[in-house]
Amino acid sequence: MPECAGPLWPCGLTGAAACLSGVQGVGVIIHGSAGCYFYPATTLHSPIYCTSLSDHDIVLGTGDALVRTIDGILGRYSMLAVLCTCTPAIIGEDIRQVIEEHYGASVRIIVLDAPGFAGEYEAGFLSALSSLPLSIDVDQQNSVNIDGLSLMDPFWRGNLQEIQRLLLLAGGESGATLCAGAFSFDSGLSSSTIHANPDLRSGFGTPVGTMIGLSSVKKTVAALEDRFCSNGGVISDQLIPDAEERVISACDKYQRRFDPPTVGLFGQNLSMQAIAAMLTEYLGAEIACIGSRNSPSGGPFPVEMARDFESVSKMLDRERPDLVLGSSFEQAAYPSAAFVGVTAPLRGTVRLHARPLAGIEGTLALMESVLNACMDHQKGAK
Amino acid sequence: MATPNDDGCTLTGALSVTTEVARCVTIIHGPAGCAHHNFSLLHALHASRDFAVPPPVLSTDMTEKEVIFGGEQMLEEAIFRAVEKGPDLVCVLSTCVAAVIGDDVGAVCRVPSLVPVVHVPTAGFLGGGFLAGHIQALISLSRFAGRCEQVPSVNLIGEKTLEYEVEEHYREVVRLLTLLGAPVNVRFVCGATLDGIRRLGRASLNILRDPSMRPVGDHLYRELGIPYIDSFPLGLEGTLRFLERAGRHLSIDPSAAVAAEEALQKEMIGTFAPLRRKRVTFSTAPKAPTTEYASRFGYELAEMLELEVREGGKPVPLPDPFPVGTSGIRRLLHRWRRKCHA
Repeated sequence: MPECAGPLWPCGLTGAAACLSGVQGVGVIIHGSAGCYFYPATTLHSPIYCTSLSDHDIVLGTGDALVRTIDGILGRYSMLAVLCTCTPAIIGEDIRQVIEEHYGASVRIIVLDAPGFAGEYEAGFLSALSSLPLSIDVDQQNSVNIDGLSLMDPFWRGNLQEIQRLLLLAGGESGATLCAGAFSFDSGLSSSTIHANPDLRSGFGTPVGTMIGLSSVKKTVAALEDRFCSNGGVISDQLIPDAEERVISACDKYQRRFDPPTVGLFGQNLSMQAIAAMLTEYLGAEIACIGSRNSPSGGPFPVEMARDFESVSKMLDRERPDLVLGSSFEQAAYPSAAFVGVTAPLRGTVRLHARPLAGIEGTLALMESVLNACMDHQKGAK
Repeated sequence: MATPNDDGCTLTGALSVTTEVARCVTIIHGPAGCAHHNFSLLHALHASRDFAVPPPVLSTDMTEKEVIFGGEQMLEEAIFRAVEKGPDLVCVLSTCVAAVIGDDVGAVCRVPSLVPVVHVPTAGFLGGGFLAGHIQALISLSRFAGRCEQVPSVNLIGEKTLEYEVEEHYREVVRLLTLLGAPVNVRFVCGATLDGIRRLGRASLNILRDPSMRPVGDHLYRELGIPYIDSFPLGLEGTLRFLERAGRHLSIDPSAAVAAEEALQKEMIGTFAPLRRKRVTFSTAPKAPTTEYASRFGYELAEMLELEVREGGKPVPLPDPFPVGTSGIRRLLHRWRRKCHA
């Protein structure tokens, strides 16, 4: 049954490319058509390569195109990752054999089957991550990994900076940052991990907690301070109470003039659940709906799949929220509501600075955007 | 060498056409990922053109099951579903995956339907590149036009709908045609309707966006008997020659229009006097296929402004495609002035 009118979320191939292009030292080759290449190439802002298969390659085999591409970038990377798209997957060519015959053990090359028809973005991302030769370094006791960073995420840079800041304030150090920043495939992993994005948990290390939503930040920071701070925690004692007071005060002031908004949230499920909880707690918001881009995996609020434009439009027309948090697709689908961008893509706006969604500054930035959007919307309605 | 295909995907080229037609639903027969890639890019480019709502694009959402057992039935269902939405037109585009598994997309599209269903033969890399998709879609849609009595007017053919400045280019061509007193009959295909496409044959001249659209121009000449000019106006002298050529084709004396435009150009160049005698170097996009072509217009401007073009000069942009008409040059010279701090 065809059920996808205006698909809004990338395929597994893009997930895999997003993961591996965020790993230093890895050269990413998309083994497929130029069409499969252009989207990740333009959205990830990271150099990736493509075999640009033609009909000739389909008839005579894709090995030559792959070898040509590998030869072109040999020596530039410590390791190459070949992502096989739909077409090589269908014609069933043994790419690993081709690589073995040409390069043997002289070049480190991993091959990943990532046909778009076989899975969603998150599955592709995590599958690619699991293909890397990563291992935990037991000597890294003072550091904590940060996972859930994806070059597809418009907030990755801000999230990374904010979580690293909090880690330092808590007395710890930043370990591996999966998969962005200074992360390399031969980085030793620390034995514990903070999740910048709960929907992209790597599974490496003992989970310390997540960083989306102030209640999660409190718990995660408390765990960090228990571990690293011998003389109390400046974050739990000062920074979080101060931030929380500012949020409460701003929300209280808003509510002196306006009713709490009815909210629709669209994005990856667990992140949206955490944001919904925060909006309920501090702003008394009513959560009208959560539309999930990925397969829902729990949370206190009811959730529906919303991976295509038609489903999103129907949900919004049905629930008629005052405030929408999501991508620019939702903004386009329901322009009459106040809008805050929290999900990729965020088109039609200039975004230059490293805005976080995670941590204390992420919470403040989000609540600030929500209140400003709601107030602007109320003014516009007059 | 790593070989990103500069020409892009056939599917994207065809979508850049079909999604411009009002009340047209486009079906992409393939995995949802192919549709998402394009839907998201179109959304981005439409957002930059201030279009609020993304175009209606339906994916058959092909999975491993259809890869094994074939996807023709799901395409039939998708067409049925698209028709239920009450569009004027349904366009069906195929993908690499549909082509490799051998779905007969053309046959499915020939099944009688309440609204016209057009199969645009695209198949990702199997169908050529972006340009092939663009051309193929225009030719496929032109089947709705027929020969009729021509009136002195112009069709604009093959505008690059994904170009950031597409509307600015259009406005400039309209401004120039207005100097001649010639109306635009149909934009084929920016913001077109099916009725508009049916009226293509009424124009007496087609103006192509650029020479890459010649196959479409030739096709329309054969089918509708409309001659064409193969490019929007580029460069100062080129803009004047454009007016002359268009006037000749339309049987309009262009001399007044040319004189007015020439005066405007002189006035415009005069406002950039602070640029005079600056030392510049042209900076073009890497691998730009028509760098030499764009350079010609760059040197024309350099001569007008007595610029010294040599290594070590301030790098000024020389975009490819080159901006259209006198207004395009004015915007470009503003960018040059900023680069030169003049």
